[in-house]
Amino acid sequence: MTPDRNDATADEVVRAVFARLRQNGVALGVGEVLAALQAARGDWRGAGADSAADPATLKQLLTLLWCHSPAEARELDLVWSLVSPTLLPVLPNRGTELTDEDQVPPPLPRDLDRPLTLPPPTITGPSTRTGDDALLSALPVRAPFLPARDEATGPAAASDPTRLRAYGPVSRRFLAYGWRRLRRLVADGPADLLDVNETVRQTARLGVYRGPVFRRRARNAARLLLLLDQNGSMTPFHRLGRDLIESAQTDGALAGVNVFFFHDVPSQMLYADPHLTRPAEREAVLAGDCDADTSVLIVSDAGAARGETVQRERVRATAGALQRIRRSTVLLAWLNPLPDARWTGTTAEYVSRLVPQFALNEDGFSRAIDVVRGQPLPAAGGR
Amino acid sequence: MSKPAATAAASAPIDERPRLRFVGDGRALGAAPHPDAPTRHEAYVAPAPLVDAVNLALFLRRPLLLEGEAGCGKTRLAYAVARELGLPLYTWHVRSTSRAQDGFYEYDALLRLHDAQTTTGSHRRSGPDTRDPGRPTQYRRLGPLGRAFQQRERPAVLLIDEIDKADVDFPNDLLTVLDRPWAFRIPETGELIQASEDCLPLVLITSNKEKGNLPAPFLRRCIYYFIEFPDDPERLKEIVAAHYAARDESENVPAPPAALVEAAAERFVALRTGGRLHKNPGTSEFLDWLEALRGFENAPVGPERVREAADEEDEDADADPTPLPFPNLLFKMRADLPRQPREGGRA
Repeated sequence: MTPDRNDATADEVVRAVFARLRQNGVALGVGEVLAALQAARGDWRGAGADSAADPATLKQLLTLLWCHSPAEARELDLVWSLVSPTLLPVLPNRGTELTDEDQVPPPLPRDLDRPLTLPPPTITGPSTRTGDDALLSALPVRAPFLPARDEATGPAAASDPTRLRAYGPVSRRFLAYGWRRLRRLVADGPADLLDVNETVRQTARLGVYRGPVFRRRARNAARLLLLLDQNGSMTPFHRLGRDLIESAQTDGALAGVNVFFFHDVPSQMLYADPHLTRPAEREAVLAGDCDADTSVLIVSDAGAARGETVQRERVRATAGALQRIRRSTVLLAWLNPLPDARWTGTTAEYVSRLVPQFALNEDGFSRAIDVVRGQPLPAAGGR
Repeated sequence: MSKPAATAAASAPIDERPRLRFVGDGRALGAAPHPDAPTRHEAYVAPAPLVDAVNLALFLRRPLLLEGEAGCGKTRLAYAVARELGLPLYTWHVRSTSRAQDGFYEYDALLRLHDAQTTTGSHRRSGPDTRDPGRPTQYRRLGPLGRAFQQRERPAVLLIDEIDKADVDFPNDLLTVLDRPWAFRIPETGELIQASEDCLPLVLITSNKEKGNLPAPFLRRCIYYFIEFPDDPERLKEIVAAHYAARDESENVPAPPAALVEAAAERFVALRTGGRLHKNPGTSEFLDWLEALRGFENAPVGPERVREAADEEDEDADADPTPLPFPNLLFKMRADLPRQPREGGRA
């Protein structure tokens, strides 16, 4: 009876914290709740104490099990401080004291199977809560929780530049997966793959064994030409551009990655370096590094970052450049670091009619990869 | 009584087998360790939250993902756990070319073909250890994960070291195996290697986030613990004591004098917390440094010299007359190296 009550309350806390964390974007599933409940009911520390009875132990359990970065641990801290004042006072501080039946208040009637109805204040946040002023006053100073980022924490993390990598709307891992999908398999490697089925078939057909049949090894022949807008309104996205380039070159298993830079419009002159100091003629680039099987990705905000009005000259120059690239390859897409809601009324809106243009987020990036791998193959004449 | 009722409430079979509990005091439990358990005494000072994390992983049999600075003892923890509990330890050092299957099994088809050719006719050999090409199981060797899954008497500790070094798809390939039903199939032999429900391995995974975060579905299943560096001279002294106690057992190395340990620990923590370094040295570097201070070329460095160097460096303007001894052990980037003392010709 006593432990049942404790467990039930611990269940409520676990579920309330889970609901809050899910709302805040921490990736957790049902399996994680079940594991937490299982551990909360058992003596997971092996210390002889009932972990469900001690709030600190319960919190530690949830932190270990549910938080996968220091940032998420801080988020759980906050959620805990919201949930615990409403639910945890029911929990006694030490489970060992409960062995004496006299001290135990009468058990609450409770049916574990019924759907849990949480006290609304725990879910709706601090504004509806009453009482506890000290907690309320402490709330507004917290930093927003951003699960997509892997923010650096503490002096140790700040000195480690690798922790700053997964930043921005698309993580490097996601970029790597995307490049991985960009493949064009060509069987032109050494013929050293034994084709058992074909060997058997040939032997059966000829009635005599003529030796094994080998197939050629396939390799990824997909090539990529990245054209990145630099400087001006693109300055905030330089980091993202570097991530794109690095992930394509190192994680992508592509046959060739060529990167050129431009400012505003990929016009006659492209540049081989991000500081736009080593010019390369666009004609030469397209002739040398671009054939019909090369995928071309252009990364530019097309004037959407400043929200500037449509500039006829810019639209005309962009259209000309796109037309020229289309003569070399139809595998062409435009990635815009700004979300599509910001394109309206700028050159980007026109660009999106000339070429498949996608916002540079996870969804947009995958769709752009689909386009530049030719699925479906876009019509040569544009759209 | 609260406790029996509470355990009865948990109906999962996981609670019914004898509980393993990690204490983290470095003493080996149990009289008969597994033959594959590490035999070397492991000097490991585990903070209480880390001990709890290990115990939670033992309780739930979920993988424990360890992150933290280089040299803070992520890998050593697996040895310490296996040593203390007397469990077999299987380590899988992940490399950039590792595939998930490498950890499951290897299959030597060439050897089998060779045996099939040579054991026919007059070449036939006999003997108890003769391989028989008719039995494919003789040509497969289980990898660390496979061996951990085969334990039937006690669970194994499986260390997957530096999982982030491998290809981005690597953790996803492990996902299905490190979860129910804890099994994989070997197509070459038709075997199903399945871990016994009573002896599910304790999986410890270390990562440095070299290629960014691990995939979210993988993270979701792991217990996560970030090993903090012990930025506290007392903890460092504790680690030194444990380290030399272990070495005393095996190699008979005397511990450095307490005054030197104290001076070195304080200096080291001051260096780390000073925030001036681009790459902070870890515990292993500290132990190496201390060892060098203790008796490099039979010329021990006194604690006062370590202290002096500490004091001098605060006055940046001066050329440091007594530079920190053995800076090459602590500073691994050129920018971190203390400025060389100006000597005669150079100005």
